[in-house]
Amino acid sequence: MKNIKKIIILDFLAIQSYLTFKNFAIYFVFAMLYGLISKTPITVLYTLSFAAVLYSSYPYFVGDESGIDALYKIFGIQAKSVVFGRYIFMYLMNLCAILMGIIMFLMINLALKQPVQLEGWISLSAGFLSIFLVSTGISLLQFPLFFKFGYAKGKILTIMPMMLVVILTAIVMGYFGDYLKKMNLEAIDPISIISFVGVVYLIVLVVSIRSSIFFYLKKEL
Amino acid sequence: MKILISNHSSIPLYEQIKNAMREAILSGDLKEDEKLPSIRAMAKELKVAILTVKKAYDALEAEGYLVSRQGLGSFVAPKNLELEREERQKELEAHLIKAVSIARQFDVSKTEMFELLDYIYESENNEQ
Amino acid sequence: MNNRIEIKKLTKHYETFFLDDVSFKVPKGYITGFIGPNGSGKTTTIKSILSLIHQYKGTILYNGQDICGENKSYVEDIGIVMDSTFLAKDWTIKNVERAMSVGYSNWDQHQFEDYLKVFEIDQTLKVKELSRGMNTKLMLAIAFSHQAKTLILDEPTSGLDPIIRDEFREILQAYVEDEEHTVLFSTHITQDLEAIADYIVFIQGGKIYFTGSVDDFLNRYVIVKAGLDEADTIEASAIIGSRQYHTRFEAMILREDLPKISDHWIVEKPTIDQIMVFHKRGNN
Repeated sequence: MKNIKKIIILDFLAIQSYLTFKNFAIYFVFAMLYGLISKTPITVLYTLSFAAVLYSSYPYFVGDESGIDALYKIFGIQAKSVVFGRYIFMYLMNLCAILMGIIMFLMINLALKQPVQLEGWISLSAGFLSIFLVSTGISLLQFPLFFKFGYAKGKILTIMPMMLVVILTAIVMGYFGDYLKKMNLEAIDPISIISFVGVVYLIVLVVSIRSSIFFYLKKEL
Repeated sequence: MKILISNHSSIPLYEQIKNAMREAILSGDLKEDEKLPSIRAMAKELKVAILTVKKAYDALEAEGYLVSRQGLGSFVAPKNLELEREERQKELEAHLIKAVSIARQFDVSKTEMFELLDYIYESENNEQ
Repeated sequence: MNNRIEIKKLTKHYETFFLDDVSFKVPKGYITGFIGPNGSGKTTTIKSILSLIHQYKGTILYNGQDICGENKSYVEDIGIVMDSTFLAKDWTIKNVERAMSVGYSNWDQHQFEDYLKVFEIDQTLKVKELSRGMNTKLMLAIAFSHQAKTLILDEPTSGLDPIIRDEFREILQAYVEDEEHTVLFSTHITQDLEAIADYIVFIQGGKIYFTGSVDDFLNRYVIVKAGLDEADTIEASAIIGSRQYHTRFEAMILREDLPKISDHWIVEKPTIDQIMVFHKRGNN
């Protein structure tokens, strides 16, 4: 546990030089403007979550550039702790992005004078949650590849699983689209949808962490 | 104590250190029972390996110039007149051997050498 | 327990090169020099000691404990200076200090700042802006600032000028003065070793050729010289390495083989460099 905490702080230090005020300001202004112009404040969350996915991958980028992987080993930190640290770091980044996003979302709503109704909040929360699940899900797909191949190669290879997801979705929609429409999704118990998504997400999470540990343990520096 | 060592000498480093320390002991520069620097401090001082100094200390101990006391370090051994005399005699012999070899080169006879010795002894007595 | 590090039958295969049955000891409280030509396996061996590499055959003991377990905290006990830096290139020295204080549980900030002053390292510089020599000095400052009992240095002096190297040797000698601190020092600048190393490990082509005291190493071999006409009077099996010039023949043999050559040949004590060169050259 102590070592996991170390990794989170060290990863933060490693990418600190990229977390500049200027970079934040660009994301902030871009997200704000886009939200205001498009009059769909939820886009703010897309932008910020995208930033979180990007920043979560930076420790690997720094690892490619200089030997911080070796540094962590020299500190006597085990491969397992590094993996857990990176995942927790990624979740923290995404949490920050979502929280920031919600605050900005409310600000834009105020500016556009579109107060959210109570019923609106339920579907909005579902929206926030799904953005969170998708952006962390992307990282879950990326991380094992980063641990195995490093940042540069991993980045290219992560396109493959993501393409796979897109293609699968397209196929599913193409073949079963009509059927799905007929199914009348609204009628399905929301709890079973949530538990289905939850189970799928958990499986992805466990497989991702296990393969990351497996790959990283094998890695030699 | 004066220790001058040369990295380019044909005499091994440890022997140079040993000789310099023996000289310091015989000349009285190092007093009886005086504590010597630790092997490691001496190595640092002379910029040589620890094992080199250790070898010199061990040799000096074997020859009776040093004693090591468990946990306290190395000390100059109590004066051993016999040892000292023997040492000086060796030195004297070495000089005489050299003198004789020079004498032979110039065909100086044994008798002439004795005369020379007598003369040197006499003149020294007169000076005193 | 008198050995800080003990390596037993370390074997590792790469496509272009391998470590073959490497065994040696690093005695506690002394400076051990690790020598060999470039690409002979020094860095691979050192990386194995640090668990940066872990897929190998053989055993490595640190303070008598096998290092292959899951707990790698022994590495914290080792100060490391290597050719490649382990620091993020965009870090300033201040960032480095912060990272070290997080990573090392025994980090001593004041000591680090003192060494920065001694080595004249500007705290506002970034890692990527440091020269090679500065980089080595920064690694040294780090190594000395976390109470490491062992120093492992991989080619530390190759980027340093003679003045700093002299200073560096003094620092190492002061480091081992307390009989506890231990140094393993890989280098091809052998003058640094002839002066201060106590033991030598000589590796070439992934194989260990000698381990023992520097004195024994230097006394093990002699260089012999003779005219070309006499070159073949010495039996080939006795020659470790040789070279023919237009005017003379030079060879390195074991001192114990001295009776095998005629006594008017010139006989010389070799330097560490010469031993390495003749070993590499072989007899041809």
